[in-house]
Amino acid sequence: MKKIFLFLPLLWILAFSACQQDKEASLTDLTLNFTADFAEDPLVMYGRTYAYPNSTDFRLQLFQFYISDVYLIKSDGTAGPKVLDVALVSFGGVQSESEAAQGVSVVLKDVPVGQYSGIRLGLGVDPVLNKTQPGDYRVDHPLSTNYWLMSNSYVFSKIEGNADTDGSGNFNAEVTLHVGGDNNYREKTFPQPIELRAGQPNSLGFSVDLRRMLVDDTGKFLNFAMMTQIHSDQSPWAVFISDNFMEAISMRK
Amino acid sequence: MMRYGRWIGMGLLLLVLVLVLPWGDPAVVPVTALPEGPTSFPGMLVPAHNQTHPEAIALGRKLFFDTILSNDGKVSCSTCHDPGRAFSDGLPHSTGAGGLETRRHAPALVNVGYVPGELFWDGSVGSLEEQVVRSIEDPTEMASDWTTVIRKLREHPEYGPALVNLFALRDGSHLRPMHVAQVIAQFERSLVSGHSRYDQYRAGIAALNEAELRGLAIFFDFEDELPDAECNHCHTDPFFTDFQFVNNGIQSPDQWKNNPDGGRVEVTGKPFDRGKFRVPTLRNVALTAPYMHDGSKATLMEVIEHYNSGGHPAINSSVNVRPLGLTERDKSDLLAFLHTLTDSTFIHNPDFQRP
Ligand code: HEC
Ligand code: HEC
Repeated sequence: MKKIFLFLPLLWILAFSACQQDKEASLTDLTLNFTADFAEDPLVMYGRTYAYPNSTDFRLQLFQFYISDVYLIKSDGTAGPKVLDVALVSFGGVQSESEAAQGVSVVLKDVPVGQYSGIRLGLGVDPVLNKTQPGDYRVDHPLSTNYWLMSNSYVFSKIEGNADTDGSGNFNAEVTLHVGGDNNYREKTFPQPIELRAGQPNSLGFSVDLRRMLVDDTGKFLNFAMMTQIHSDQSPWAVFISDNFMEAISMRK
Repeated sequence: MMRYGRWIGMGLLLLVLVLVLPWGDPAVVPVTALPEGPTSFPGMLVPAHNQTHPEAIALGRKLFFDTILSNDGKVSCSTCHDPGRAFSDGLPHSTGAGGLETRRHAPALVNVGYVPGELFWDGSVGSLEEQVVRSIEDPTEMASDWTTVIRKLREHPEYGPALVNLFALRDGSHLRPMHVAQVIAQFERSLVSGHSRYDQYRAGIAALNEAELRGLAIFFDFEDELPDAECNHCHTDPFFTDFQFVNNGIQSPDQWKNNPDGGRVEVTGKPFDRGKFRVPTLRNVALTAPYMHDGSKATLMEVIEHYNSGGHPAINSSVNVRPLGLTERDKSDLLAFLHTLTDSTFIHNPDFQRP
């Protein structure tokens, strides 16, 4: 009896292999490449000190965020094919300028070829996925970790580093900014003609200015002399970081 | 004719497949027989080439406890990974079959099948299978060589035929290290621990006392009025590890300069990976003293004091390890919470004992 069940998929493959080939011609790979900077400078962990408002120096240990619910936008402006459920973009392993230039890539398989007018990224874990928990996935899935029991949410982004707030050179302040919760989920559409062709590498580049996530256009900034920790969803500073993320991320030319 | 021709062709193809593929062989049809973790556990990754089979687990268990794998016939995997100690050995460093000491402290094997990336404190081993292949020839562990081990197993009245049968080999001359590694790895994947009092509390079927609950809140930063010990940034639920490599400030600046154990840097070559080690699980941690990659902390209270002090400074020492200012009560409550992670069904599981 068991043998028959094993054959069913084979029959299916045989029967459909012909149309499968047509389909492949209309699908392609798309790489989303992310790089990070701190204002003008490439972002590396540990090895570099960045100037921050209030005569503070800042040194990074970790910068990571989730992107989710990624759609290509059709020429008429409506949402086209969904190309990604969720991915974790982590710069935690970036220790040199060459690694920073290389960035972090998310490779999307089987994306329909064609002309698109843009791409939409969910910044954070979209509310539907944010109702799930690590136990819903296998250990190699990006959502099998970074879960916050207390807030029933994934930690959408983490910024961790040491700040020297007193000019002593001791980097006295341990900064850990963890943002999550549905209220901090954002979506950003990047209007830009995108042509995806089969049989050739397709790539879209994004860059994130970490400084812009912590300092807004009016000059308002997260003051590490006053506050070094955010581990919550409702804190106004968590919302400040989420709002800033919308401006901090841009598409590379 | 055309119509039938197609079906005849398909039928012939299926017939060929039946003949070529060994459907009926129990060694190749995968059977899922791993003990289930609680629903809070993400699913385990089982390699496609080593799907779980109850007979393989049983054979792997026998080999795990057998000294046949060592050169002096005195050491088995269980010498350093004892089920009564959650598969650790109670020593800072262990002594292998060649009389040499291990470089690092033998870690507990608890939910080790769930580790999504590399194994060992520094991540230098790619898989459970690879670990076995290396352990046999490691001078500080089995101190043997594969030619000898394969010969001994082939000539063994039980193991030889069992391995030949399980992998449907033509005869014992086809026995390879990978076969041995696969069955032991399967046994290790079965070492699932998820029935501690903490799990029962989370499932709503057991209560924790006041001290334990207070310790839990300090561990997880559940309450604003209580101090936050930051533990859950790295020892995350449900495995009590996020499997990352971090520096939690164990090595002193002096050790940093002179320590022959660079940790993660030895694998990646990245300068700021010096002093980083893989975050270990805390499940059953009350049974697995001494602690850390070098076995340098004798008790859990010493570990808590370490974190309370903020650890040794280093440029890559994690910002989540910093002076905590815990009171005596906070520390003892944290300790009480760590004890709720002990899973007595795990250490007493008859399937995990010496056969
Ligand atoms: C002499 C003591 C000793 C013996 C014998 C021994 N081990 Fe270990 N084991 C260790 C030590 C020490 C480590 C840590 C090595 C490191 O991280 O550098 C280790 C690490 C491991 C790990 C990695 C765990 C983790 O979380 O990364 C596994 C799995 C393991 N051993 C399984 C086995 C198996 C299977 C055998 C028998 C084939 C065995 N060991 C024999 C001492 C021993
Ligand atoms: C920044 C991440 C991080 C934080 C925060 C952290 N740990 Fe750890 N923990 C580690 C790492 C890494 C190791 C292993 C280090 C080594 O072996 O040198 C470890 C080891 C341990 C061990 C020893 C386990 C063993 O099997 O040897 C215990 C116990 C422990 N931590 C408890 C805690 C407690 C309690 C807290 C909170 C007070 C805490 N940890 C906070 C990363 C962390």
